[in-house]
Amino acid sequence: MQNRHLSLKYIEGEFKMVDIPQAEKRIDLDKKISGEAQFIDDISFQGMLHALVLRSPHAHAEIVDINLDQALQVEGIEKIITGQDIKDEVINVDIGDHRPLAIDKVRFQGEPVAVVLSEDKWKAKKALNLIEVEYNPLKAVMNAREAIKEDRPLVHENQDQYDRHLNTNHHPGTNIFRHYKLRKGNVDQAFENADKIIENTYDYPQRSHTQMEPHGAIAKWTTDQEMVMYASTQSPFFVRTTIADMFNISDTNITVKAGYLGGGFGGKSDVSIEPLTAFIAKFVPNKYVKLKLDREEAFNASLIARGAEVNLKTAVTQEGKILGEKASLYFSSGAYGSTSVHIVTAAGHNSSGPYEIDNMEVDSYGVYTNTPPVGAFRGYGHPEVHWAKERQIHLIAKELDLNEHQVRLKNMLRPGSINALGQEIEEENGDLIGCYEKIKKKLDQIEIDKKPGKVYGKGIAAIMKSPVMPTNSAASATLRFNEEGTVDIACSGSEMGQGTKTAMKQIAAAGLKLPLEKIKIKEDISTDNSPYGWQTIGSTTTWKAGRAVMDAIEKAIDKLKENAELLLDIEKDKLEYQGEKIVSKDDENIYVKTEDICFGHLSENGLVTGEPVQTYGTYMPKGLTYTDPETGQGNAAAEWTFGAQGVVIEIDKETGELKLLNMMMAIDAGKVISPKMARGQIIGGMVQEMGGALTEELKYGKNGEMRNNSFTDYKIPTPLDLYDADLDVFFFETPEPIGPFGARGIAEHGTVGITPAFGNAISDALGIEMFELPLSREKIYLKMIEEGDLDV
Amino acid sequence: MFSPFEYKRPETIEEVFELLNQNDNSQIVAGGTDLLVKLREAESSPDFLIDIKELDELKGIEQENNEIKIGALTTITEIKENKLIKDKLYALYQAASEFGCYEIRNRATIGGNVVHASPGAEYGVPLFALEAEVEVVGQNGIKRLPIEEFWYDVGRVKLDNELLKSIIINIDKNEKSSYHRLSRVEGMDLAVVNTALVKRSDNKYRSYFGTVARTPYQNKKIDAILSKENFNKKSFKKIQDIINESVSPRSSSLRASPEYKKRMVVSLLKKCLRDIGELGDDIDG
Amino acid sequence: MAKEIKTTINNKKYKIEVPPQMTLLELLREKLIMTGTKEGCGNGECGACTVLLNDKPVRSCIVLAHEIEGKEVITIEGLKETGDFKEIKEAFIAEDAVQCGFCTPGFVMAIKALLNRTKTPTDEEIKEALGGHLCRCTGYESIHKAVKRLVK
Repeated sequence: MQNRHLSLKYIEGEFKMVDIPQAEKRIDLDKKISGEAQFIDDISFQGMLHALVLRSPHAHAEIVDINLDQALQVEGIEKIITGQDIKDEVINVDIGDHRPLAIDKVRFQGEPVAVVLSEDKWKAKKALNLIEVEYNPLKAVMNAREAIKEDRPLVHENQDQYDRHLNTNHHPGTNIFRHYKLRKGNVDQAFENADKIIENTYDYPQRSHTQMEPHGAIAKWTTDQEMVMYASTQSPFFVRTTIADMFNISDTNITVKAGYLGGGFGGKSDVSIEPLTAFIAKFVPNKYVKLKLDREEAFNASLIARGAEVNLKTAVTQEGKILGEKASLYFSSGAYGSTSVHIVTAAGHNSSGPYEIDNMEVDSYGVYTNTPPVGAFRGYGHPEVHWAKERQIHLIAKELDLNEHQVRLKNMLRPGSINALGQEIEEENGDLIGCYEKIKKKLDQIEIDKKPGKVYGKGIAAIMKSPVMPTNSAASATLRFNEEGTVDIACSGSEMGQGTKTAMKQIAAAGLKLPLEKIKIKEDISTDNSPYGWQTIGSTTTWKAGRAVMDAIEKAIDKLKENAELLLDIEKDKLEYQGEKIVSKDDENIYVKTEDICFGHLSENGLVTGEPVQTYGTYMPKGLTYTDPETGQGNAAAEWTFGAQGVVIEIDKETGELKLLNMMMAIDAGKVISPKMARGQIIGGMVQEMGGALTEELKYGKNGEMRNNSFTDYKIPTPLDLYDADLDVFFFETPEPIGPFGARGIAEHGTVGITPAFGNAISDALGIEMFELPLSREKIYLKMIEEGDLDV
Repeated sequence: MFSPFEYKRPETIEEVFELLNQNDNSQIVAGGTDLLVKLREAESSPDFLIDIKELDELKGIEQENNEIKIGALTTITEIKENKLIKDKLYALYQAASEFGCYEIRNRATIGGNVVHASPGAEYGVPLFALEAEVEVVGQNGIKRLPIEEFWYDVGRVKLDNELLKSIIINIDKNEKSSYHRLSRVEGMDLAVVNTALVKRSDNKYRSYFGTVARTPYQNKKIDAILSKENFNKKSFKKIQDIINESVSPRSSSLRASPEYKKRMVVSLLKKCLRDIGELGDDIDG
Repeated sequence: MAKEIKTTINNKKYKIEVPPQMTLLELLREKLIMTGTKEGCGNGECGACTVLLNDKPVRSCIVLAHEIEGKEVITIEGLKETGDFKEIKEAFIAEDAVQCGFCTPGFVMAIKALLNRTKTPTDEEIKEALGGHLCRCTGYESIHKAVKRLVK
């Protein structure tokens, strides 16, 4: 991990821990608690048109004919748009396989087929019901396993013809659009030398993000080349580029504005409904068009998540040392591939888990299926492979009759280890073993108050996480001293609940050595004038945008000193910035107040000395490279975070009902900017993943229709599932060299090891081994009576 | 979003019948917690909605001699908070506690739950087990019939331009009752399976099982086993065998497999027996 | 056909033309532009649209606007003026019980209704009040702590 270190010359002692001022409250709380915070659907305009989408009832079908005659008779309809209206507009994030509306065929149930625009939503609905579409249903493939078979139908007949922004190593004539290969060491040799080969297959089905706020976007074309959009997006700049690219116009002609998001979790990064909204609005120039999804559409017509089958063959010694591993990962990535290319990659090189494995052979496949497209979801490939890897370690220990802790500790990455990508792990990457020991100890200390009819189990998992992003994914910030000495800061990073703006305020206050009250963070983002940020993803905002804020601070302090130098006639090297004032290093009685020079110094006769202090800070990850197409090796990850998680559970022997008693995580988060918000992020992540562990799974009918696209049958954790549980978060603070004051990202990490912790706890409680998520009450019970030692 | 319809809120039962007579494609709405969801999902698209919430004659809980009468428009919250129900018809109190969530209970009515006749309805198995009767009001007056006759299939009840007026339960016949359900999460959820058990004054038992058949399911052989004294592991084995042989829940359910449902109704029966005080904490009975 | 209804919302009397198929939630958000009440599911299953109807919390997405004729509705906008709101807000701030904030007004309404019923709720009563509300961000711990702080 070379070239990562940057100077922080004005922040004393390069990585020294400083006290970060703690905000009394998050800056967005007053507005959110009172309902004043505006989300996308709270915005409307005079004369705005509502867009209602007719969606495919079929998972896979040819569109034979669309008849709009009757629908067009409905009074008050502004326009009806179908795939026939598409010229050459393509949504190309990584692969140009996607159109804003289906043209000749539909590839998932819920895919847009026609859109009705009307000022009156009830009239739009009436017209929508009158559109007649004739389909010729085709056989659908619903998961990767089916989709790679010889006689499978193809979701895309000619994927070879698609433009690609990068080499995805697709397999022509198949459903495989992405193949990430990792080859390290000599796997065959390792397997020959092994005492035992342990092979298992683990299934992590598709899930839904279920942000409480469904997706929405509002667009208006002001000329045929210029558009303004309001969107519930984590990535306004990315939306801008993608839409500009779709219409082959300049980025600068598109304005994307983003305010508060009612949850993102990755499902509002990349693009989902924004290109369609832009496309349909173009037919009604100078009118605002709002497309907002209802809950059912948020399930089956935005992006979905996960969906992986992971096969691990692990070569081990009798003592539990992992000699080598062969991994095959099959992602059911949905009908379009762009939004999951990098998930396939991330999962591939993280399939080692937090272990040093010298000999690895990994094949990770992104496979087209007839489901909604899979996109980023909190954890981004890591929860999928940790489900497999941390269960596998548990089973290796069981098979070898060893203690699972010993097996983990024997193989764990530590300073000097080489990870799957060929990077050397350093001290600064964090204290994995410390985190693991902490959780192990905490679990050991918990004494369970046992009740009749119940069984109890404890489960543990170690985790590793790195952000996956383009090598040039920049973040930036602007800093402006106002005349009165207050500071306005804007930075990239959407506020979707993670508290990013409050953290930036704290970072800025610490860096500028000014009280929090003097700093104002601009919350809304507009691509017209906000600092550039690639996407708010990968738990990178505190780390990256925070680093950009620090860069702006460094530059601002430099400028303040220049102003002071002019006024005091002391060379700036001999001045010390102390926040409210700039002081001579030689004589502390000689100083100038920051507020007197931050706009240049205005003397009594009106003469101005110096310049207004306004700076721009940037951060670009250093030294990242693409991975080698044959070996998958390379500097693909800019930072690493380690941790461990544990759960304690109670199971009702009569019903399989599982109750959470304790859930915990130890994470090396680097410097914790706000302990309270950091805890909230970790707990939120753990509970969200607990849904994946226990109940969440998208289910499809025999014709490929999503059967549980509502909260009726897609069950996420409720308050009552957590009310009696004890949750713990332990922070380790090994400074991260790039992050502001040594901070790391933490937003996703709570998710990574929760599913195997539950799986291992069930094994502990009942002696049964589970391989397929979710670990529902039913599955636990049926497995318990099938295999368990209970007499039921 | 609902498709447009007309809406009326009559104040007397007579007005309801007038409206029903005038409009072919009409639908009665009470609490709306089931119906409005169905309208939204376009499972049902009436031209005319008749809101009967204002009909006071259909509200309230009262005891007349040995009968408790629950008006069809009584909300679930009212049932849950009623002392008479909790004291005399505990299963109905338990069902209210499990029903939807607090906000839903404030709107949903027992009558609405009954007339929608869902296989896992909270007020299916307990009312069947309690041998409830229903009062139905039509233009020609009021008639009274057993609930198992009224509620005859999935989503089907015997109403022909009529209203469900009240539900009547004999409290002398029923000594103790219990209701249990299984869900997928602890918060708001539908019942995956449910079971109700009544111990009658004559020491005989009646048990009903939900979601394993089109309507709440009873098997006399199971009740006969229950009604014998001394439950033991073998009794439950026998009950399980009877269930396994006699019901075949549909395999297309999203909520549970037939195998699991068949097991769970028996597990819930054990919980009911424990409530009634016939089974200790010993899991095997 | 739209028909006029008379109702009281946040202690203010209204006479409004409302089409029969309009929900209370649509009336609030789209007609009266009171957007503090959120739509999370439209099916009564998430709690984001909770308002008080004659003092009782209900899911405004499955209440027809016509049903509030002659009744009183309190929304988050109306709650802001009350003393309880200030306390709830302080408890939410103290426990950092908000992340994205989309479900928050619904939780606040449910808690207000709970406090209307009793100032000293038991665990069971708290569970009953919150059981039908979904939050995808916080993991609920901070919300539970906020309620417990209120009843201390």
